[in-house]
Amino acid sequence: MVFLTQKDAKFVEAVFREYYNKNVDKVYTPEKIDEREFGYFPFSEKIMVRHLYFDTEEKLKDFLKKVVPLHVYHSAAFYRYPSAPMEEKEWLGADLIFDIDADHLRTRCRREHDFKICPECLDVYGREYERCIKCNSQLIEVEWVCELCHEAAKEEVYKLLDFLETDLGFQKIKISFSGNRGYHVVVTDENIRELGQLERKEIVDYITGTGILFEYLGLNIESKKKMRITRNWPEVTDPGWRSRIAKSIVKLVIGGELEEIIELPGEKKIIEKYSDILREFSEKWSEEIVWDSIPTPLLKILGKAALEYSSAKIDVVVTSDIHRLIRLGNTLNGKSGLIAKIIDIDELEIFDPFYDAVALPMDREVKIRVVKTPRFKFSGIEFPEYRNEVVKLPLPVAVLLISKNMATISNVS
Amino acid sequence: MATASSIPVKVKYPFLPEAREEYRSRGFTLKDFDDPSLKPIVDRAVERVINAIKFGENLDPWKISEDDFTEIASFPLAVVLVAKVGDNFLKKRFALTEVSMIQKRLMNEREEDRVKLILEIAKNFFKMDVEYGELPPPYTFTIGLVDYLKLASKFNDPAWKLVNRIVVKGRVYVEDRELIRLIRDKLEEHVIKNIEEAEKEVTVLPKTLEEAVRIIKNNLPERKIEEESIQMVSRPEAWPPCIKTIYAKLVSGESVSHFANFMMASFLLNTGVSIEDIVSIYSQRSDFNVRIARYQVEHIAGMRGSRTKYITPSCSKIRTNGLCIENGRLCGNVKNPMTYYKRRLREVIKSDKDKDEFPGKRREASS
Ligand code: SF4
Ligand SMILES: [Zn+2]
Ligand SMILES: [Zn+2]
Repeated sequence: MVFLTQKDAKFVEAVFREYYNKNVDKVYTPEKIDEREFGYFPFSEKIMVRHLYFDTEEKLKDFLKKVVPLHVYHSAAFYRYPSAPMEEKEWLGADLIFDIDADHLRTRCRREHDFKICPECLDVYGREYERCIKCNSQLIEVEWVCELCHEAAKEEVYKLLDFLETDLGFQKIKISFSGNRGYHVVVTDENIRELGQLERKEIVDYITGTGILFEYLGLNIESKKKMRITRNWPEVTDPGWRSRIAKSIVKLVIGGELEEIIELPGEKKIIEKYSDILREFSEKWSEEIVWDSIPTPLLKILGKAALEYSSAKIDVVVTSDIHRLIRLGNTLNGKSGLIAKIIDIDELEIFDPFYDAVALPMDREVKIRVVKTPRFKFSGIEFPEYRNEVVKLPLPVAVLLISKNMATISNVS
Repeated sequence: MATASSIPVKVKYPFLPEAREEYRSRGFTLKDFDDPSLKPIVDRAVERVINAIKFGENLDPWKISEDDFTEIASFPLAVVLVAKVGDNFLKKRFALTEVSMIQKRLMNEREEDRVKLILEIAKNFFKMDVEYGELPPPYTFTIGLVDYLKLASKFNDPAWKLVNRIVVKGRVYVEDRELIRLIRDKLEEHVIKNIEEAEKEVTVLPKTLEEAVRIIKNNLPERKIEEESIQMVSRPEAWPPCIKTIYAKLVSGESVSHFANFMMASFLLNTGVSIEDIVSIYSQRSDFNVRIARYQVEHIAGMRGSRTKYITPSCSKIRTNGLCIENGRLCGNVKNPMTYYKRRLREVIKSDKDKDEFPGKRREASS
């Protein structure tokens, strides 16, 4: 089960039902709805129901009100027969989709706010445990998302947008919050629809810097020192990856972030060895890099670090999969009770999921048993750390904690 | 030897509208070619096809007939002849030869003529999203991202990878020679389409042309049907979908990626097919080069280079290369195509036995 107890599932389902009954008109309808496949997770099972088809907006909305899904998705693809089995759907094209998930970003805070829990005893465990020591139940993972996680994901969205707009020249770009830990970016320019898997993979590789050869950027780091090509160094004013690499190297050296990115001990040693040179660089370089003065081993590390620093951390499988389902915009996410909100590009900077994606009424309170939470701010209110206590919380906060398996509505008396 | 600038455009690029116009304006029908006065055109058309068989990409693009109209008319006629021979190998080989000559001729043009011609072919003829512009050297043209990806993503050379290109606001910078290389693939498709149209349209040929077709057929290389021996050793019924798909492409002469070739060859080797037989699959390809194919297959077999015999790539590797079929849905969770093969093979062999034991039983029973 997705929730700690049956009662929790029933409770959240009732809240979702009320929401959809009152607010179904806020749900986003994708373009060409009659060529999309829909799918959803019900509250009762862990299996996705797929191959659904709605020829009108009304039918989709009636469905949401009647079925009340835990999660609901639609295909990025267009099909002639959206409800047919996969082999018979007849693929007509697909939007180009990107998924950025804080989960993939290795943020350091995760170690502090993620844990495991025994669904029977409600005991808290570290992430390395598999089973409860007391009752031997399989532990459940609890993943919290803090401000740092949200900001890290946003940072990647900005990098992605720069690739999509400045380099690849896409015009129609839609951003939405995933409702939990990340963002979805959808490109709907007509001419990209027909791109196949192979072509999409090329776009993925461009954005992640996969398969990049430094010599094409003017950075010949593979060969011996004396053979190094010294003309055509990348400049910050160059287009595309060349400027990204140049800018990132300046930033890493001047901003002193190099140590954070470098993880291999061998590379750390090299950085240490050249620390004097690096210090000197950070004083001398402002916009112009004196390439010739960089020793090859250091250049190699700088190149790699710059690549890591400037590539956008997208989920590579999602983008190349031309049959992928993505969350329907402005619907509730069953992992948080927040809304998968479609955001204006200009709003992204100030977008705060714990404020802007709150869709349930704050003025209703619910008594729940909270197992463990960090401090957090939600809808403008500061909440303290809770540790195995019964508290009365606003409905959206209660749903958030219950959906994340950090709290239950059972055993509250 | 003729040089690029001294030969009229329509002679050098016979697929262009002005060449077709010139041919059409004379109002010939195929029957007219029985007329002895047109024999030079028929002879030149036959020569075009036979040269394609003999020389392929190595054919000298400047060895053409003295008379402009003969040269122009021999192209559409050659297309008809190739269509009537009805051999897949020849179709591809002929297209390959013609476009490789066009590629060489374009490269040989004076800079300004080349730019004009490229725009004429790419933009006007193929409606490609191509612009000529003031770009940092060595770049001369930009291609729209989508068109670039459609044409270039099948190449294996890292220089073609998007990530190694300069891309500005959805325009990919390319050099002349690179654009010509991309146009070449469009042209090849175009020539093949012409042949296929002729296959449908042309029903009966006049005597002279029937004779021409016969001459061409006699010049076709004898290709042993080694497919059979492959089928004897490695049972294709047991091949996983990814391998079947590549194989189908290979025998139909389509080009596949380097990785796909590697995957196919290592799979066949591991199912017990001999190097000879594998090389023979490749010999049916229009761009075939025995020496290279043999070298590569021997390398994969571990007879050259590192001497380690290559194992067949894993499904996840195949998946990352975009060659897995339906994400493995049809393969029941195997991790390597060889596992799929071994499992299916057991079933195939068992069903063979069943057939032997019940000779009266119809085929359905075993499937
Ligand atoms: S699962 Fe493996 S064997 Fe099956 S098609 Fe994909 S790659 Fe081939
Ligand atoms: Zn327990
Ligand atoms: Zn965090």
